[in-house]
Amino acid sequence: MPRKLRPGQYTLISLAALTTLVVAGVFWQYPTRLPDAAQIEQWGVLAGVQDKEATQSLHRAADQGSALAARALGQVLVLRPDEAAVQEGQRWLQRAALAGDARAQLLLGKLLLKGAPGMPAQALAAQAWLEAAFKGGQPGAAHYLGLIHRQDVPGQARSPEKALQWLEEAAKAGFADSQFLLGQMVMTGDGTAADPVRARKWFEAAAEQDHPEANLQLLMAYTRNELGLKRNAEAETRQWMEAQHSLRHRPAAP
Amino acid sequence: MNHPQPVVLRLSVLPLALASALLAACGATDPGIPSNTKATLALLETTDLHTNVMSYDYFKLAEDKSLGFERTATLINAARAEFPNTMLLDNGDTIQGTALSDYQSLVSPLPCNQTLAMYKVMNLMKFEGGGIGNHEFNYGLPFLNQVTGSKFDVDGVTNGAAPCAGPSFPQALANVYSAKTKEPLFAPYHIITKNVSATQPDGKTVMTAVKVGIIGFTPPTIMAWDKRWLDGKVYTAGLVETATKYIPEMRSKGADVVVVISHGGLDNTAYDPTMENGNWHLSKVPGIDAMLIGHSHQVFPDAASTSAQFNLPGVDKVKGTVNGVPTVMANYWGKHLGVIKLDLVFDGAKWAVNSAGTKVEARSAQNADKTYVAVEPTIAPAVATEHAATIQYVKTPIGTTNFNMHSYFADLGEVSAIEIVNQAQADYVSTYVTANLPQYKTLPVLSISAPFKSGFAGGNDYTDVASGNVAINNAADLYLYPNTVYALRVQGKDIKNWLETAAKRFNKIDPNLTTDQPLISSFPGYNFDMFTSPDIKYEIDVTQAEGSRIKKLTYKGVDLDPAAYFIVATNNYRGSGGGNFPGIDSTKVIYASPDANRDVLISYIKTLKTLSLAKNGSDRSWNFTKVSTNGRVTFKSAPNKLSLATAAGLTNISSLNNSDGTTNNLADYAIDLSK
Repeated sequence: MPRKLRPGQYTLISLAALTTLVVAGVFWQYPTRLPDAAQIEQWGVLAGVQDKEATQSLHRAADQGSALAARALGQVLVLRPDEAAVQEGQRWLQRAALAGDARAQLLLGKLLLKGAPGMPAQALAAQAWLEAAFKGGQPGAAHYLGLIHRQDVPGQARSPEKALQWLEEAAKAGFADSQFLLGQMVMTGDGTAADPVRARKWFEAAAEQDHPEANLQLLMAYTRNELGLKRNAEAETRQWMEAQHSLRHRPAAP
Repeated sequence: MNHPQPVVLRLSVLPLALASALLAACGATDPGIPSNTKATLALLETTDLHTNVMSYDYFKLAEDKSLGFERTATLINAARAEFPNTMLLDNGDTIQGTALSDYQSLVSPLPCNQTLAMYKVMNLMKFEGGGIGNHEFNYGLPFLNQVTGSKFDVDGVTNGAAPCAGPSFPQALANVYSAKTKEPLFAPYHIITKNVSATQPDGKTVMTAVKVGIIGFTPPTIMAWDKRWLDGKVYTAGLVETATKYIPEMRSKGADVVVVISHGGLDNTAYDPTMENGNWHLSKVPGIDAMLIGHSHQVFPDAASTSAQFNLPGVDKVKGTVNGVPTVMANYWGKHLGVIKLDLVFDGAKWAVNSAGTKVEARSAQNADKTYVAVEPTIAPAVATEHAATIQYVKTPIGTTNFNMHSYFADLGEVSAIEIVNQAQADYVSTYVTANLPQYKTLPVLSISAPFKSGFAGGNDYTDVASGNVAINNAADLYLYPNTVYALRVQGKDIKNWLETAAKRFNKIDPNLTTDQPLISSFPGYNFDMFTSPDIKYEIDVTQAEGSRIKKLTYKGVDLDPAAYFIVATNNYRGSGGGNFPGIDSTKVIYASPDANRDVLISYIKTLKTLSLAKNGSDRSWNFTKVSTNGRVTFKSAPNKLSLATAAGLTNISSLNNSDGTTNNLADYAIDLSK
């Protein structure tokens, strides 16, 4: 037989019941609301350290149609060492890319350009996604379009002129890898007249960002009196140190 | 129905050090001094010391007065004499960067009960706090845990009952978390009770306490840079998010002054939680009284600075402020000491900074007359043993060679200084692929390398390691540049293109000309990549135009299949597109090793112990296509070296003189291409 309750206790119980209902209601609605970008970012970080809970959360949100979550999940999975994970990652990236997520288009383009275990490189398929990503506001895509045109790929001949144009887009957007490669083409006169001073400007821009190879190029230029630089013991020592030091922290790839 | 479980970071259990700092903070609140009491506190910053304790260059085995903490210590003493109160803090990149640090981590790993030489002298100079730079992670988490006297709760680190010896000052790092516990790896911040002498309104000097909160940050990009140590074990958070969380907490725990120790520079591009140099954005988080920054190896403030990061909106490179926050960056290798002088005022309840009195400087160890300040004499004796052991290590033979390893005729196909490099690179990459990239383990591994020292700067600009002992410093002669090993997955057609580009090293030779024709073009020697393996063979036909010179290219006796895949070991410069070799770029890279080619070479020689001409110095992959020329084909090398060419089997070379008439210590030689 239930104990008799005093009047005040009814209020407490009904408050508790109300709270429970409100809380339950919030959770009931939860699946229909997509998590926000910050939440997905945090799950992505944790999924990157193989956190199962976070990976599952990304999965659910991606299943519910979040392109952000699909991209975050794909980005994590394609970096895992097993073929099955990479292929699943590719599918998630593709879903996000098809939904118009430009960042996913860039990631998918990079993956297709390079290929992966069990997935041969497909430069022309990569090119299509990268062009879409560039139009969608991802200047880093220009770097990879430059790389594609810098070489012969199945179905498309090398075009140093196009490579230069794309690399210049990416270099102007500030990507150190692009600045370095553009400097290489300008220095050697590939697709353009050789222009040591212009080449040096791009190497210096990349070196300022601790690009190891740009620092090495400037070091070699000092020691060889190239690119308008002259032998100078103090500058060489400094440049030597920069080239060595920057190896441990290269700027992020586009 | 399932619903997503939001992941909540559990931060209620804070590391011990922090907990004790919090307890201490809860103790005193009333210093018992009147309102308007004033104190001057100078924050002193060292950054990017990189284990340059002594003014010494371990590779040149010579003094270098332009660097070294033994001189920074003199600047510290001077600042301590000048200001009534100072607080000495280090910004990180402290435990890595010289042969001394390699010696104490890799060569003769420091025992648990001993303190790293760098921390030893920092303890001696009574540092009061420190941050953690990216390079602190270079030797892995177990080493960092040991030498900082920490107790990391992360996978792969085992802790003894008591922490190992370490710095006697607190270290803070707020934006790196253990994947296992989801808690910060180090204490995110400390609140230090700083006893200061202050002046009361009546002019009396009193001793009282100011609570200084220090919070540390490192570049989130450590996850890429030290992936091999950190992947899956720790993760990072953005600077702004982390500061927004902790700074109010520090204030509520009683911090009068909040000092950010952030290893990184300034970047005003759109904020991203993974950005490398997030301090321009970080400075906008409310509640920061001063920022000590670093990482970029620059000086700030500096009115003359041309560095892009110090010429951004909101950055005052004269006064030393970033969005109004006093900020200092003290160069690198102990060349400067950062000083931020803060005037503090007590309002009856707490201390606050009176910004009118703030002064920021980066003080150089170099005097106006280009001389350097004297050394602090107590530093050298404190690390004498470690310093001597490091010098011994650098001089110690790592192996012996029964042949002279030189590059005097490398342009002509002589391989005595190149084959050992290729062997070391190939061995390193094969081992790695077998262990870590099983999907590529069936591919043949080749290695390619160039003679970096091939006479550009004169007759002394050649590799020349005499037969006998090979020491660590000889390795720098065999592998000149600071590069790291890269493994590229390429096809036969890429190899052909690669060699065609390398063959631009030669001028086009016209066999009908009766006049002398110089063989070597202006194409740099460092781009003259060559194989040195019995498996791969080719000819270079210098009578042909660039792009059509590689002939009879075979692999294991069969024409090289343009479609077949190979792994080629090379360096980061080539793997990143250096030299503009078509199709050779980052998309071909299957392994961007963090290990230096030179270190890989050193460890390979250590394994072999003895090098012989037959095994390590005579496998030529290429020859010139034979052609009779009506005139002489000439080149330059150091004088009086013909016997070395002959000994290597290059019997088609003749000496034309012992000096080319310049002061470059070069002589003229000729090569008979018909033989």
